[in-house]
Amino acid sequence: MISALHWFAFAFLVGGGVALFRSRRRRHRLEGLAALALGGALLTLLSGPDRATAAAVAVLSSLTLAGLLAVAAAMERTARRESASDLALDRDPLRWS
Amino acid sequence: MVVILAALVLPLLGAGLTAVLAPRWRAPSTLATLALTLVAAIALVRAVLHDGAHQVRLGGDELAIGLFIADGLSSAMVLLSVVVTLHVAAFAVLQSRELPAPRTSYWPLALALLAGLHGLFLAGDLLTAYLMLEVVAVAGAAMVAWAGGRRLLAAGTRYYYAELVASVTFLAGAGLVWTATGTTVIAELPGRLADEPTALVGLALMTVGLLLKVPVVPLHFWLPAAHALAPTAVSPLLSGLVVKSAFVVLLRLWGGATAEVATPVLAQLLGALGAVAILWGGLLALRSQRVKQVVAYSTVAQLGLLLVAVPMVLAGSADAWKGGVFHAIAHALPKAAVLLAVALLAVSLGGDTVDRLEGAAAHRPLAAFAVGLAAISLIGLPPTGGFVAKWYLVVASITTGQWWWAATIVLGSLLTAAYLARLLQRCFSSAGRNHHLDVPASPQRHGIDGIALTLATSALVLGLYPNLLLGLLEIGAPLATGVPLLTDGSFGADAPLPIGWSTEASAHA
Repeated sequence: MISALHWFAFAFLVGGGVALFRSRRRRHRLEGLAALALGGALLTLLSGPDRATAAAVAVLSSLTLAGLLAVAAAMERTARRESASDLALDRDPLRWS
Repeated sequence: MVVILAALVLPLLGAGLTAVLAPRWRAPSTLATLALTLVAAIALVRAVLHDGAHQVRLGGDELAIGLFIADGLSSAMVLLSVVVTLHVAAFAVLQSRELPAPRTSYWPLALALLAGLHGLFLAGDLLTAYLMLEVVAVAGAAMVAWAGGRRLLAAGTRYYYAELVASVTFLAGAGLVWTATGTTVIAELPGRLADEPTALVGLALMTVGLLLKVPVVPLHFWLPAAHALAPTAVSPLLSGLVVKSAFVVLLRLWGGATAEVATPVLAQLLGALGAVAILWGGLLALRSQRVKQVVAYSTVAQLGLLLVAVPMVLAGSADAWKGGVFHAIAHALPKAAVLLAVALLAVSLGGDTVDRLEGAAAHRPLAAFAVGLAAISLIGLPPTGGFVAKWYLVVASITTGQWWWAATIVLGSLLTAAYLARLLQRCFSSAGRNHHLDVPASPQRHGIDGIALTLATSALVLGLYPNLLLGLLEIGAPLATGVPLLTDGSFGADAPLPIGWSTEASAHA
């Protein structure tokens, strides 16, 4: 059964995903990533045949997602350090002039 | 089973060790780890051939994570990934004579990527697959992004974000499937999905996530830049191996576990996505002016071929299963060869556009020959591995009554021939030979060119002796029993082999 909480988590997933590729600003992208991770962690927490297993997996997934967020933040920081501006990820780098 | 653990742990330990070593020891440490991992991968294949499929569950039966399965598919992919990575690493060691040397972070990242790929190929449950997808995503994107320059950083970050969205979507789907079925083990899913709407939503989410990772048109937006801009020693790993990782999970899901819920329309829809990728990727490759861009769009097209196998697999065709997986392997070798060879040609000829390849064969005959040999396999001409894969797929399309896939495959091959002919025509043309660039051949140059040529020759050997691999792929395959999965399709008759080839592999089943 898909509950209202599931839909709430889906909304975070989709919203976060859209923000990643539509936003030109690093801060908005990181907020999108956080929303995406939150949605994923919530969905995992709602899963599992019993609460103990689900909680254990949710903790594991959350840690993984936190690590992934740290990598993303490091990439964005590197770009900012290199040229003092955010990456324009809404455009294909192959078409950059 | 020790060999499964060895294939998983060796590259992981090697990555950790290499990361803490002084920079000058990183390349030797990587090569030593890869040599050991190659031994483990060969032992894994031997074990599967002799004893059949095995599984290892880390942490006992209570955990929903940590199940690894060694069967024909996973052991073949593990061996392929070590072979390709070893060649690319050897290339990376030698490339500093002509190309910029890889950054010191390259070596541990390459081993971490290999560990993630092995984990993914061997994963028997959804959560392990998710974790390994993340390892592959981080290592792959980091290799692109931190190779230097803002453009690469943008390409790598876009690639990373696409992978992240795909992974979290996959995780969400896996969670829903777990809620509905009470299991995360892929092999336990059959029989538990059909009447569970939650599981179906979960399955759909997992599929979308994997299609973004493969990627399939129209979800391929991140691939061309990441693959075309990536450093020389990274592109072959991405184009040859990483893109296959999500396909293997997709094939495990759709080729066995979830076949009961697939409708013919859904199966055809997946195949149609593959067909669009074949045509779209082929046309864009034909229009591209930069060589690596041609190869990147070629990857989009060749990945479509993998997806075209899915509706035939679901119709119960063992030939489609074998053809699809054989293509995944047969594509990796020549693709890696082309990417390495064109990098050498580009540095020798002073540019990476198609027109710059004019007269390349006169300057670097071994590299140009590697491109030619690899092109034959990518097009699917006999007697290469690409031909065997396409043969099986075409036969599957006819035996399952889905002839339109045969037409798509032939059309895709013609497009491949067209865009690769542009490269070959320039390479082997003597009209525009750049005499001012003539450099005397040296043993070092032959050595590095020989790496690309070895990979291209492997694709030829795979075509000349396909039976060992075909026999291996039948071990533990969901279709080896010959049970139709989707409809009462025409599975049962073994595909006729090309004239002159033995039928030992078919008899093995």
